[in-house]
Amino acid sequence: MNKNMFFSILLWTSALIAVSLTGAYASTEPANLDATVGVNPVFSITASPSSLDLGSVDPGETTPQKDVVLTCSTNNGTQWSVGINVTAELTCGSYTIPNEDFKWWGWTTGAGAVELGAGHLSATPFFFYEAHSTEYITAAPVEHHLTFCVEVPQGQAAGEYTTTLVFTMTE
Amino acid sequence: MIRRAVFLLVAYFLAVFLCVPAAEAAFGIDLNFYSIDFGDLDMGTVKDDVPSQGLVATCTTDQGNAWYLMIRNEQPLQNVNNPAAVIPDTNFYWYGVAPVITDVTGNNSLVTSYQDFTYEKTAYTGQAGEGAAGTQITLKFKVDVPNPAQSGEYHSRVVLTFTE
Repeated sequence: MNKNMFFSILLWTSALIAVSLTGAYASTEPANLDATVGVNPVFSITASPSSLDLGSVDPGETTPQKDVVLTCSTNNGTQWSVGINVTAELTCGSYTIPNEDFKWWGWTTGAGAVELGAGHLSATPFFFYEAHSTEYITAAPVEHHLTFCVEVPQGQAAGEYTTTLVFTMTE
Repeated sequence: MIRRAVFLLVAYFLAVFLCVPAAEAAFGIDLNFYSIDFGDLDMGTVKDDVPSQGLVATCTTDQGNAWYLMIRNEQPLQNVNNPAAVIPDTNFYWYGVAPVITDVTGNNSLVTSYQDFTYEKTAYTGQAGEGAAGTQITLKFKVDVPNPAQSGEYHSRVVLTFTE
């Protein structure tokens, strides 16, 4: 081995040691942090106004039309629908007005399917609105504008007839 | 004789080279928490200052080079029950909280303004020679829940990367 070769080996070895001691190579170390957020559920239906006064009319006449606005919101991401029923016929003491004479119809701001059915109320819930899939999380509340009136039968006994309307949002 | 001397010299240097760095190099990152929880929030609300005492990343190195603490989100906060529902990275923020506890003076590289997670960013740049005793960098997080947003629990993994 000649001198040049000796010094060459010496230099390369020294360089390797220098590199290793100064740590000039790149180093990387990750640390993981798990993040959690809970978003509260929203599921609501409101009716405005909360009571409906159809006024007073003579037997054989139809009451004025009155409106109720239902407002529905949800963020649960599932199918939902809205139903309507009355708890009983319009009643005043022992007298009643048949549900067939309690009329309703309406329209909606929603993109879902509307089915108004027979157009009169029933004690059995009737689901008149099926939400569209784009409304499974409502960007804005879906409004249902419903109109009511009563065709008072001929010969109906005088008095104040009342019942309770029930609006049900189901998902 | 010369050959024998050269052989011994090379063997000595190789032995030193192989043994020294593994024994003495210090390089690592530690966190005081490995999870953060924003709690249950309403749609359209903001939760800031999480965690309240701050996430402290301690970066230690004795390798003498400039270094970086990078931060990113692996994926947007994702609904556990519906992976298609996410809170976008534009609604999830980090920021640094001064002071940085370190062994050098005059390093003002900590990013203290709100930064969203749309891409990986550098939170702090360490100077050459900084961090031998461990540099403590405090970070906090903020989330802005969109309206609308599907109800449920959202998860993601934030990755802090210490590089030099």
